Amino acid sequence: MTWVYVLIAVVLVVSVWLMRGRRVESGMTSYRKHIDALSSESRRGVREVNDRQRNGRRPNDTGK
Amino acid sequence: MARDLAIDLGTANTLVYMKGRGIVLNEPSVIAVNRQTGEVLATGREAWQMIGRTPGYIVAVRPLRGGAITDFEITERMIRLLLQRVGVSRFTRPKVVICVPSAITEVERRAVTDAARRAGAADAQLIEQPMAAAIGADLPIDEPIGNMVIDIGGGTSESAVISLGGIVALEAVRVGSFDIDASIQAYVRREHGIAIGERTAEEVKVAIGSAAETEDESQAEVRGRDLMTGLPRTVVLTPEEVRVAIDDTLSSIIDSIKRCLAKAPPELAQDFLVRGMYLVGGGGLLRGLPQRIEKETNVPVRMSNMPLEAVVMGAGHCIEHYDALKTMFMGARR
Repeated sequence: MTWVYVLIAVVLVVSVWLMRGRRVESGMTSYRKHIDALSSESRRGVREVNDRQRNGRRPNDTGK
Repeated sequence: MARDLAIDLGTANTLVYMKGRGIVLNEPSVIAVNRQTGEVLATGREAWQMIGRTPGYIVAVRPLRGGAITDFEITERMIRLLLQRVGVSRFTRPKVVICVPSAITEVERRAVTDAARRAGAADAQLIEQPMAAAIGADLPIDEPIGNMVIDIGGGTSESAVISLGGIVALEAVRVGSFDIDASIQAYVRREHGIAIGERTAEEVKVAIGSAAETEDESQAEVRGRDLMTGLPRTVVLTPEEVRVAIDDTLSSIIDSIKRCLAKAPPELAQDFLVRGMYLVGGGGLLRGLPQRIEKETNVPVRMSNMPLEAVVMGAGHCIEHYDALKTMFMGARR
């Protein structure tokens, strides 16, 4: 009998996960995320990642 | 699990940014192939050194011209080798964001994404170079301010006005650094009667090339093949001659910048006078070019801190924030 409860629990978890995936964000929310991801603070992370890489190992430079 | 990648697939150079790692590869977009067997002999810098110096059975080529794929098969092999070099295998298939010229056609767009998918990418998305350049140059494109970026690459020159996270005005021409080199080659052939290779023309441009008169100018000795006798000959070129040689090419680039300025809405156009236009790409490194653009447009020009890496850094930012920025990819809006 326990396996039936386990199965129901699994089905519920999967359904909730699928519904979360299908949930459509409002235009305002996704636009806000888009703008926030382009902020200067957000971009600082990429520069820091690259600076770490540059200090660690220098990729082969080219001319042009 | 493979780390996702951003690729600046340029006519001149290819740069790869790996998520969480930074720029892991920066090499010329050149591949050397054995014509008889079809085997790839070299890529990147090694293949670049072979250009114009190969025996008959080897061909060292740039598979992209004017930012477009001229040889689909060779490009696919080059992308595959690039991905292999950064650790992509058939078991680790990353998401890939590729920077392409904004003027790319639907067919060319499909050719690039197909090449990347066949080369091992799980998903391939494209982003316009000027947009990536603006992100990489750290312009405040999230604000309601007019940001203008000029990207002069090997095969294309693009100008874009960006505000509030999107492109407002855009202008692109398939003219770039390689056309400047070709102009020098044509001038030397016409005026001095000697043939020089594309690498020599590039060296002349780097040594004495300029868009406007500069201080401490010097001459350069150029060696080539005499068209009449077929024998090697040396001529001396002056910076003034090089300026004459490349003038038409530079004019077409500057005309496209002017057209982009003319397309900008007045509210944003006034911002350029204060903030200036930002120059990125290898072509922007030509001596005197910022000054000449400034003189012809009456708008201040500023060089980006990382002119050669700005585009891939911008695409790298998109791969780091993939979900939030996926609306920016080409095709997502259409």
